[in-house]
Amino acid sequence: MKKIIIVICFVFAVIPATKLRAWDRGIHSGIVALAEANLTQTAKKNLRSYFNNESLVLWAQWTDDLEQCKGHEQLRNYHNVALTTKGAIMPIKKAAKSKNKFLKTALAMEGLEKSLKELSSYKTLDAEKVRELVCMVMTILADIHCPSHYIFDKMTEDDLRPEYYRDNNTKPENFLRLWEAGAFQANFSVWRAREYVHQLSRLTQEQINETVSGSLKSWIEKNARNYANLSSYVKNHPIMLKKQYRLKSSDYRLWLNTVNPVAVDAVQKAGYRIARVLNGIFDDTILEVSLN
Amino acid sequence: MKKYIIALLVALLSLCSVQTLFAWGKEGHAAVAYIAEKNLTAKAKANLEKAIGNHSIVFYASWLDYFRKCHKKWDKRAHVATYDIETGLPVGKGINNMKETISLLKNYKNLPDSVFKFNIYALIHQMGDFHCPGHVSFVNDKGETIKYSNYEIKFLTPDRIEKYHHFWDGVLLADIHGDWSYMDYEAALNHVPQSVKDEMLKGTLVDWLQENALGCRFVYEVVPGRKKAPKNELFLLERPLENELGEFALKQLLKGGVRLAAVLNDIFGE
Repeated sequence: MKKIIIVICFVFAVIPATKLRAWDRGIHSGIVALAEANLTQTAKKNLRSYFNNESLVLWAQWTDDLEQCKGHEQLRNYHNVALTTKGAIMPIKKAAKSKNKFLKTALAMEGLEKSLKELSSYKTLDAEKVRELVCMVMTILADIHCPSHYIFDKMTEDDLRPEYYRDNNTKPENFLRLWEAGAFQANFSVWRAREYVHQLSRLTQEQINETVSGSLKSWIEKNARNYANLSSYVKNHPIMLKKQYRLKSSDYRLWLNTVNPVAVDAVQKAGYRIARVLNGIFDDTILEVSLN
Repeated sequence: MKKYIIALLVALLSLCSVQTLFAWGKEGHAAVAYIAEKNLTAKAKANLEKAIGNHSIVFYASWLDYFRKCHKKWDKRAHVATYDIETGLPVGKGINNMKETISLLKNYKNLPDSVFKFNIYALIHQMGDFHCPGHVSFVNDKGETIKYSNYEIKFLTPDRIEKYHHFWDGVLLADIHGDWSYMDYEAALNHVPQSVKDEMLKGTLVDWLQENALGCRFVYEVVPGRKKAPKNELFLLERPLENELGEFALKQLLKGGVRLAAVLNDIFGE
């Protein structure tokens, strides 16, 4: 019944939901498929016992859909991470009390910490609660690999929502939306969930170890360093004409070609890291990933 | 029915413009590459994937379209295979590039990485392009390229008008199998008897392309000597006819994939 209610909520909220999402639905499904393909047999079997023997891919967007329902609005704050100007994760309380509306709602760490803490004793929880928490973890971990979800202290509206014009178009386009979907989908929009696995589940064990080494916070802060210059990268890109952020349409493909590998790398890391976190929780032979 | 198909193909070919050529679109190119991948020998697949950095060849199926502006050798005109209208033999830049690309790749172990990658990506893409009806062009005995013009296709259901090339690079496959991924195409097309694939592989690269060209040449026989179709002439496309063209397109995807695999097996299978 709860699933039906969520679906109904989603139908009515589909337009604003589209605007709020990080990666688009296809990418979220692909990331979760990639994660599922890299679960240990034990973790996969254990997880599926909580998910009615369904694939996790079916639940890849569950949290994003839930947040559109009345009473679950708080989940909308769990997409972005608040960071200091130097790229360190900002304490949750400090971010929540910030006067900056962007920082104030960048509470992904709160959602992640709460979920992981509860999941550490998942055997005492009922299946519905476990599903909810796993979905939350999958969604937040996917989001924090999207370059547009890092909110640095003192960022302005212009930094966060850089817009550009193509040729003489009078209507600006939003670079963040480009990151959230276009940068990846420009080249690989034809992939479905199993195609993500075919294409990206190819790392060697050595590469996997490197990708999943470290703590959750170290992953985030490393991502933050990589994405910190997103705004200036946009504005200072050699093919971007200065001042007006005006991009020639003929250069648009060149720009996409430069950002696509960044998006592919982010999607791949997200998939392997979600698998690592879930393996640590649902396979007793694997150590849990530490938060700090 | 054949008369209608001929008429439609005339209309379609007349619409072709070399301004925005992306052949099959991402779906079709990925399908060709994946069919090829499934027809690689284990050894060729291992050697090939090692050489291209542990990626599937599907990953690079449309690379040449995305980086077209960076490589003059494979500019938009080279994506079209040109044929002598009498013999159907391939002529011009496209086929010459393809021959050179394959020749270079046969010595792939000694190529600089950037040269190797560019050529392997080009081969993966172009085998798809050359099997796309939208990428067939003819020259007459005076050396003149038969110009495609301004036919547009009017779809009755739903009511819309599409340009010729867009019909092949997106509309047709989307209309027929819009919900298919490249794995679905492979599952649907690749499981024909080996004897059917063997038939597709008879002859050389030139023979394969000539067969593609001759498959379209009859279109020109109904408009001999015509270089340009009337502007803004609409052709009404009804769904049964579109379905038949869709079947034709699917056969070309399979041929492209099986033949690409044969070339790659030859290069990387040793």
